[in-house]
Amino acid sequence: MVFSAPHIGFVIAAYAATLIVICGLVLAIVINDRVKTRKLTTMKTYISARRAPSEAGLHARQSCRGGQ
Amino acid sequence: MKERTGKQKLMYRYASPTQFLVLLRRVLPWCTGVTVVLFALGLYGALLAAPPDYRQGEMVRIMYVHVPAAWMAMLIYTVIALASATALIWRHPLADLAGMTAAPIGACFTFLAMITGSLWGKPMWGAWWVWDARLTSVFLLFLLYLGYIGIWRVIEHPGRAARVAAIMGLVGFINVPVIKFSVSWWNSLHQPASVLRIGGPAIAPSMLWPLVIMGLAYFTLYITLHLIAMHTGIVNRRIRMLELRKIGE
Repeated sequence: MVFSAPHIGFVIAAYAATLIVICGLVLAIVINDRVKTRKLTTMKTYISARRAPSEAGLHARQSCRGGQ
Repeated sequence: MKERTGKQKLMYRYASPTQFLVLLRRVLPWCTGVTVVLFALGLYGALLAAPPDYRQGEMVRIMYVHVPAAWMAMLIYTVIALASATALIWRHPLADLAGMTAAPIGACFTFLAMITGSLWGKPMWGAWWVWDARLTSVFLLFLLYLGYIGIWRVIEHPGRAARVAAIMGLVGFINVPVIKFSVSWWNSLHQPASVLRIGGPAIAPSMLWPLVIMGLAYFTLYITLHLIAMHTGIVNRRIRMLELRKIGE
């Protein structure tokens, strides 16, 4: 590519616009995915932590009944 | 009950989001790798290996970023139309998600095609924009993308949004062949098709190969981004399900 060619600024601008749009799109999609995945993991951990005592209690009750 | 045919079996095999996520985890690293390699090779061809045009000079290098973006703009809307038909006819659980997640990517490629086209048009035609058939139909495609995205944002009920968006996806598809053949049907400043045409490409092989490689790079980039966006969509559905369960408790 000859940088002294006439109108070369348009070529550079086109490639710069491509870089900005593609990088912006990639970043937006990847960041959104990471944020949502982290939110789901947090929610699952919260729910399993809330269920854990009650499930333990259920097992304890069942074992008590089995022992009677 | 009727037994499913081979094609239907293949279609429903990945209908389960869990199955789809397994496939996605396998395919995604390969897609990313291939995209990076193709972009490196394509940019080398476009900026260094390809010769300048005898009439346009160095300006022809805009073609390598403009034409693949326009191809992707049309291809992604075709994917949306196919996903819409699949969602309406077979009620495939991932079809509406495929359409919804493809639209923002398609809108970005259409925007890119318009911007780079404008930067090519100014020195070649003397105008940033002209309301001729090709440019107007591409602008209409951009509006269709925005409308499609808007439907998903505005209609709160996901089922109703999916149905309305699918109808719009199918109706809007009429514009894709109009874009393709606009340069043949009407007088236009835009040059006629020179790659995908009857009689073979009209471009010199030294300019054609970087264009094809860039086209493949854009395509694999689209596949990679669409897969990630579909993953986000599935995760989003699960979040909504958990939130609803939480409210129910």
